[in-house]
Amino acid sequence: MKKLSKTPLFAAADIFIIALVLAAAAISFFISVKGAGAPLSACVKINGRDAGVYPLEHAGEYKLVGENGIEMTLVVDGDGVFVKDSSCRDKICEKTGKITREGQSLICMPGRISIALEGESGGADAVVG
Amino acid sequence: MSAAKKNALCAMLCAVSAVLSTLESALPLPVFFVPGCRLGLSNLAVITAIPLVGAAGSLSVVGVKALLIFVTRGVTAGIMSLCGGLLSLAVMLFLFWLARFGFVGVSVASAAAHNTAQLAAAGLLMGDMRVFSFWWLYLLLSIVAGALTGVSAGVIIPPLGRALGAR
Repeated sequence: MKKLSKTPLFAAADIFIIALVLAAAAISFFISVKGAGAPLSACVKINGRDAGVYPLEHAGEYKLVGENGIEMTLVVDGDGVFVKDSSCRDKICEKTGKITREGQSLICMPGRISIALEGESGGADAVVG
Repeated sequence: MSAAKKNALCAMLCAVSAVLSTLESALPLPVFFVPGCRLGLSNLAVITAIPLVGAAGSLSVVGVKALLIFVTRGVTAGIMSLCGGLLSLAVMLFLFWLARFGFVGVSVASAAAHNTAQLAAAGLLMGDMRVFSFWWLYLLLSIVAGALTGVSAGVIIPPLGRALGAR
């Protein structure tokens, strides 16, 4: 390792690192958050397998059962979906709130559940609701 | 520094990272408003370990932290901590070795690497790479969190090193 005394708090080269991270953030922002277009559906995957497609126009509450006995209630309303009452202790999916745009997703790591909003062209394996 | 002193310091840094990571999970950060987002305070112990106890010592700090998370929060959280910790350590070791960057730059790069590795681990565990839809948000937050921990590191480490008789 280099001498401690040689490492400054902030070096000019740090700007390069920050600019690089900003650029990566900007690129992935434009790739992920596409504008609203086709009608959206919430596509659910549990442990990598498709576990149902919930079109947003069919409002309602649906129970999802993931790995490790984790259950959650997926609430679908006209313009988005959110998770209510997850039995997992982290509650990260609940705290994410409502997702409303294509490309956004709700993730439950302990239950291996992922819910993403996709356009109609996504090619549904199963339509529920 | 003698080997015994180095070992003791390494063990102390493991304890510091455990305390910081526990403290941090008790600290809600509603400001950031992002699922699972934390400041990465325990990275302070790792970034301190690199110049003071070297690559092997800092690797053990990352390992002990992941082990602690594995025991207290389960396999998934443990694997994610290990993936994030290892990639961010690799990035920090490389940047310190280049010796062109300050603590803020190293810390921001390490935070970005940590978040990226965790998203990749989450995606692989779930077989669903759509988790990367949040990547941009985690990258932006890694600049904020990385700068904060980087400033702390830059303030703490040099006097600590002098007090411990490091180079």
